[in-house]
Amino acid sequence: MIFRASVLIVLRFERGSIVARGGPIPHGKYDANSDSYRAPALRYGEIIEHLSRNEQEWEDEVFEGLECPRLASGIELRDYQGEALSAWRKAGHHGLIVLPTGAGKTVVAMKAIEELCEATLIVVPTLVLADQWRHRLEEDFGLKVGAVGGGSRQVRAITVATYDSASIRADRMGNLFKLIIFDEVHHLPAESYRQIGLKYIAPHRMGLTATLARDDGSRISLMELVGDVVYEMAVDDLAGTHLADYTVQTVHVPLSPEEQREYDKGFELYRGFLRRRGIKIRSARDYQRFVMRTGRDPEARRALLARNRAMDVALNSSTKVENLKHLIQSNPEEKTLVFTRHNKLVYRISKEMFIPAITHQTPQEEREEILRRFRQGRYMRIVTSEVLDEGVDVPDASLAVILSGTGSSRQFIQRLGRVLRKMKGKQARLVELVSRGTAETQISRRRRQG
Amino acid sequence: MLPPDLIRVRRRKGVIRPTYASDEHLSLAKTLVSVHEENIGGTRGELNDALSGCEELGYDYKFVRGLSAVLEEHCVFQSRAAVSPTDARSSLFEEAAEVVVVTDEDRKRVLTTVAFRMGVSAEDLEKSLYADLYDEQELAEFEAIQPTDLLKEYNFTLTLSLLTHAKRLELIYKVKDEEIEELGKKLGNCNVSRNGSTKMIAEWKPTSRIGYKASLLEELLSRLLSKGGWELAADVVYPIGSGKTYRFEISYKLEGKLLKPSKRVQGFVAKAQPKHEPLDRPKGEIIDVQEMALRLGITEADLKKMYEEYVDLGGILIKREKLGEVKGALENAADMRLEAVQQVLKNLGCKNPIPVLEALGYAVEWAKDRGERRVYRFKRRTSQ
Repeated sequence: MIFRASVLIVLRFERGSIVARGGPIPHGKYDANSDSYRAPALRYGEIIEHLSRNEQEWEDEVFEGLECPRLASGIELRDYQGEALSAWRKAGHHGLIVLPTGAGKTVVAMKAIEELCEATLIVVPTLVLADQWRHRLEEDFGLKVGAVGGGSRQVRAITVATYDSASIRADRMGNLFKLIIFDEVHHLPAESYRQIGLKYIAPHRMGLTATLARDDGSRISLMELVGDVVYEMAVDDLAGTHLADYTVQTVHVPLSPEEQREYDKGFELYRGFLRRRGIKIRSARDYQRFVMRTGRDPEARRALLARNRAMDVALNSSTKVENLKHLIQSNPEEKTLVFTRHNKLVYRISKEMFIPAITHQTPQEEREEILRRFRQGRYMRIVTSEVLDEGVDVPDASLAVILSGTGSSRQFIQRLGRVLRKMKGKQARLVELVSRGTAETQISRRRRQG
Repeated sequence: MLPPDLIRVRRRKGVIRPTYASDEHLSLAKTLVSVHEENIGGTRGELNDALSGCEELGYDYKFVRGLSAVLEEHCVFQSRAAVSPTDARSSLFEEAAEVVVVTDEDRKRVLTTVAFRMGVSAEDLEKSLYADLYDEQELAEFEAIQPTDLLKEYNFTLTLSLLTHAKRLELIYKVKDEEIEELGKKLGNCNVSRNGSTKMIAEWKPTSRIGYKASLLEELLSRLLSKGGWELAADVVYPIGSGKTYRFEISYKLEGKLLKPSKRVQGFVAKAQPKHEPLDRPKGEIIDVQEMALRLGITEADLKKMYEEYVDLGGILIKREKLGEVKGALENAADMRLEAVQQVLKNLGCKNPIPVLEALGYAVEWAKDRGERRVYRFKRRTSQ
């Protein structure tokens, strides 16, 4: 493509950068060795806009992707989904859409793909999610969808890639797409994934998430790489209408006398050490400093191990397991997801109650089989640690039990989201079991406060 | 070899010294040996829990873990599965989905019903349930070791681990041993001069083929220890990626008595000795050619003859049926985190996953953050 004007600027894509020969470009840094200007691929859209505005003559050799065929899906958006898409459109096909799990973020993205009809890359955090996206796109658009990741490297007009693969192959794939959709976009600010935002030319960008990070650093990073929040809705905005009605119940359970003794002993050792050394833990940073100290101070290490042991007791207590049994016994017909923080507890419950377990160690084929049987109703319960926290499509669970988790509100919202898909007459429930009188109560409070 | 985060050193004014174990650590060594002996028949998970407890005895945890890593070389782990764990799980969960398993009676009933159907005892079925997990492997054998030898083997491993970070090595030795020179040449650019004693200088890129270099250095160090009369100095880049180079010096006279190679590598020293009778072929479905040849004290070619029905992947021999299993398990390995892939291979009984990965056309992308290390697929070099 050649555009008319006086001096010819030639734009090319080189390993995640836009290289301009023949004249300067916005965000471009001059490289004397190659007598050219280099800008991050992220700036491609702005560069083109600038050159067009200034009636500059240029030759664009950047995009080398495939033409997208005409798409027709027959997808009909709900009112709020339509509003989200329209807001994204108004923002110049840029920005973040924040919708709760089960609210149909995928559908909004698919409609955007259909509308723009450009070569598109969808970036997802896990292989399971990549498969789900691919199947959905192929089914609705009736075309073959490319896959990059998990051993595949097939690029097509519409391609799904994992964050890992998209990042590793950014230098080679960065100029193949005009629209990029980041599913679970809160992963993008991570150091190794930021490269995707920087090294892909896609001038149109959409970020999807159920929970946006609160820290300023991540937000600024997302704004720079994808755009500002263009539409946001919380679980409570949709509960009862587009999402299932739900209740959250926190049950404080006591430790067994033996566990209580072990917990007290461990925590006292830890606190005693802090007291003796005059160490105050007021923030995550203080705690990090303490942990670093354990590398060179055996007594500090003993204190840390004692604290960890005490927390293990609180998070994985036997009374929680007993309570879980009662809960399941009194709700035998409820499809139930049991969440824990540690795999050890997952396997303990699986062995004790013969509940199928899914962890990162579960082979993919077996994981798919468990989820399939769960969907069919052949399994009524699954116990898992963190792998089902986000993304995986588990359509009709109605009871989530959190036996243990982190203090992250994101994890809490995502676990809640697992049971929120709307079904006729469904009343979703999330029950969290917390060890009474232990540090776990603070963790629980933190995650619920959000 | 110890992972980089377990290497214990002191650095001062450009000189680096490993923190060697000494007689004052005998009590810890005794404890760790007895923990292993007591856990024979238990699972790897139980053993690891017991070893974690030893980290609270007041010693540097890196030291405790380092000793445990050395002891792992003396362990044989095996799966406890009587039936396929996947089949056991599928059948048990399906049966249990009909009822809610809450009491011991419910549990026993389900277990007995499924065990009967599968033609195994309830106990075997229960053992098989998660027998494919790494932590569920059984410690089948533990080769007894004297605590003093454990400390010496640790020192040897520590020295070797540090040497794998070297980029230059100067060796002065008195004995005549052509193998030492050969090993120097294999390490990198090598110059040898003789003036009464022999002086060998070898230089190489510290980041390339670390596993291979480690096995050469292991052989070199073992050979030197068996002969005596040497001094070694190395330029060591430590920690990896820091770019800082330190001088590391060691001699037979000062440190020789503190170090002892593990039995696994002592074999090669016997290479020159006459062979009396055919060796028994060690069992195993995946064989690391170099390691096993060293262990048996035979050439790699002889070893390959011993396992001629195995598939040769170039450095790794593997049983045909196991190869299918491993390939299947690695189908989705590209772009996975290294730790997860290692876990998958270890579950399949592969003790040393990285050479197997490489032999099957995968490579590892090493990152500073261990959790970020990834496996990716590169273009196949062989027709395998």
